[in-house]
Amino acid sequence: MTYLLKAEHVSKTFYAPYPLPILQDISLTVQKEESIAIIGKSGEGKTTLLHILGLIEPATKGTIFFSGKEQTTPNTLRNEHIGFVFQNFHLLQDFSVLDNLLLPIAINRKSTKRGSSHFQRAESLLERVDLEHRVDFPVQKLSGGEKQRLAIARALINDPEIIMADEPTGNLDHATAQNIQSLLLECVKEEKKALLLVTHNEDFASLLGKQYKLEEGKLINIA
Amino acid sequence: MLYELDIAKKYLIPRLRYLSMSLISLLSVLVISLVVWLAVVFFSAKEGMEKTWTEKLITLTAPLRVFPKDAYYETYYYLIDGHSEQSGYSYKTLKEKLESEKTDPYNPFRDPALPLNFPKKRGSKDFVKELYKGLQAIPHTQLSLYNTASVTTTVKTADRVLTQPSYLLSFDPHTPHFDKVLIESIEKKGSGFPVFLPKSFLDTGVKLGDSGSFSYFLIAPSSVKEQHARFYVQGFYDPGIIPIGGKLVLAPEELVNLIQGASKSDKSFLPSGFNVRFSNYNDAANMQKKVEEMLEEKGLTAFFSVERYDQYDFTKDLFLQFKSEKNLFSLISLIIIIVACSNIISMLVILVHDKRKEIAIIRALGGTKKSVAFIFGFCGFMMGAIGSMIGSILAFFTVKNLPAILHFISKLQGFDVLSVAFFGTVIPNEIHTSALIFVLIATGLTSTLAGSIAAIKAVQANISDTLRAE
Repeated sequence: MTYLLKAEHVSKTFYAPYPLPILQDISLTVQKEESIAIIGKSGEGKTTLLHILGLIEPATKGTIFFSGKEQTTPNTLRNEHIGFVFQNFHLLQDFSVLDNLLLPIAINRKSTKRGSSHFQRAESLLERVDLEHRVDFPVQKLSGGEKQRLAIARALINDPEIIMADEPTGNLDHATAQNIQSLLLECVKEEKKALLLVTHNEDFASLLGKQYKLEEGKLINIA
Repeated sequence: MLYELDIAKKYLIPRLRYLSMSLISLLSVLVISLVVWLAVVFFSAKEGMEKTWTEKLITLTAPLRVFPKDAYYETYYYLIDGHSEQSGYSYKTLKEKLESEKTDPYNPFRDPALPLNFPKKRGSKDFVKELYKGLQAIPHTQLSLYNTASVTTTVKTADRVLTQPSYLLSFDPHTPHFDKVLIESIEKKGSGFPVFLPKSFLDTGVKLGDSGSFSYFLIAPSSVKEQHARFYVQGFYDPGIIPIGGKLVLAPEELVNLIQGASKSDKSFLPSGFNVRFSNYNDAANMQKKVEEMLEEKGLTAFFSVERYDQYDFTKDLFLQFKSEKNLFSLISLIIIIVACSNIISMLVILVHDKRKEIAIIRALGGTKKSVAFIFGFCGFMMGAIGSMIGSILAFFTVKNLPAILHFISKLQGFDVLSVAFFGTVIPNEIHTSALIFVLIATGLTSTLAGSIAAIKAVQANISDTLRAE
């Protein structure tokens, strides 16, 4: 099976105020439609690893390959091939639900006009995440659960190959977190996407195909 | 619409949630509006007045004048009339030269022998006629001769007699746009020559129809006799910026020629030459070039000068002063615009700080640095543009109502804001397009530059750090 994402000997050291190695010689391969969870305690570098794999942050050492190629155009890759779901939702506050959902399409310079194929996909995704009644709602008026549902829909809008989720249930109450877990896993399965999840929630992690543990900068395969 | 514009639009609309930022933003726009308003009103008023002054000047003179150089008065062609019986042993004015039948009136059998150091005759070229023909050949021009003479003017008013030294300028009241300088006139014919006096006479109590005389000296080989020429006041005119305007009397050409002819004894004539008129005085530089080329072609460059209205001896310094004032105010405006635009930098830097999370989200979703820079650069540009638009609208209404505004301020302070003696009675009420363009371009560029500084700060933000910090 061809790999989708491959990290080879990735290390990360922060230098301010003194050198602090966070990740050491990490290698990881994500296959198409594969779901992987990375667990670890707070401060172990889970988010940093996800940001490096998602090309948001450069590694100090090591290489990231996507579909067999070393990546040189991170903007396009992030936009077209990766969908992000963040712990704090990271939505644009002064924009409506629909505007936020269509933002990756607009960034990709594709038509977001009513009736266009992307607009139709946005409508169907809103329906899928049960937000069709909130289309023109200002984002700041949504509940935490609604915001995360919108973030999941936004991650899927550009039909990426992989979803990278960073503690997607970290800011939600238990019941809402359960809903979001289910929704995320269902969507990933329905849309045939790979999923790379970082979380400290071991129960959530156990629902995914593979689990790794990040400990003292090393990635350990635990299941 | 580009998503960058959509985001910039959201950032530009003041919101209660971002009160301090909204206030700074509104203040920046307000300051730019005020600067644009002030600069456009000042430039428009200044340009308007300069235009009025220039129009008055070229009505009384011409956009271009061609006149003899000193070398002309040292030529055989000019000096020979003083040695020729046919010319009455007297030098000829340009008009007389133009009308004379013979280029060389000297008759060696009847006229006295020429001194040894007398200039040599250079062919049979008639300088003045050649010049006149050359000027006539330039299309779209209107030619006339001007002459000046020095006299003492005496005017009898109802209760007193005024006497002052004056200069006569030959003038045709049918000159185009004479109404621009004319204050008042009468049709009635009195005894003597009709003349137009400068408005300073009007201020001293002289009235239309008053009579007077010019006294001058008739210089004959054996004696000097005082002569008088009677005149009546046909009208008063505004001499504008001509420095000796208070002494410049507009008189019929025949009178000026008569006095000039009587007074001449050597080459020290008062100025005379050809007025070259054309429809648009802004074309003066181009026309000057054409006349210079014609002079060169006819071999007359050494004997005649061609000057534009802003190069005349009596206006040159004033026009340089106008230019200098404009440059100075342009510089001051530019500095004020930069200061105003520094507010935009403050506002946008606060905006960048406030929106750092959104910048990071856009970047994480694939937005390029260029897009982020564009958002903030556009915000800066738009603030400058909105400020400029408000300022321009304000300036338009101010300039349109400038006379009323000045009248109101004059009433408040108890004396004229702009002295009528210096600025005249016509207050400009038109926006000066070049000034508007200058201010708009300066504001547009400066505000975009201000936006760019914020844009640079925006793109330097670390996406990962920002996303993690929330």
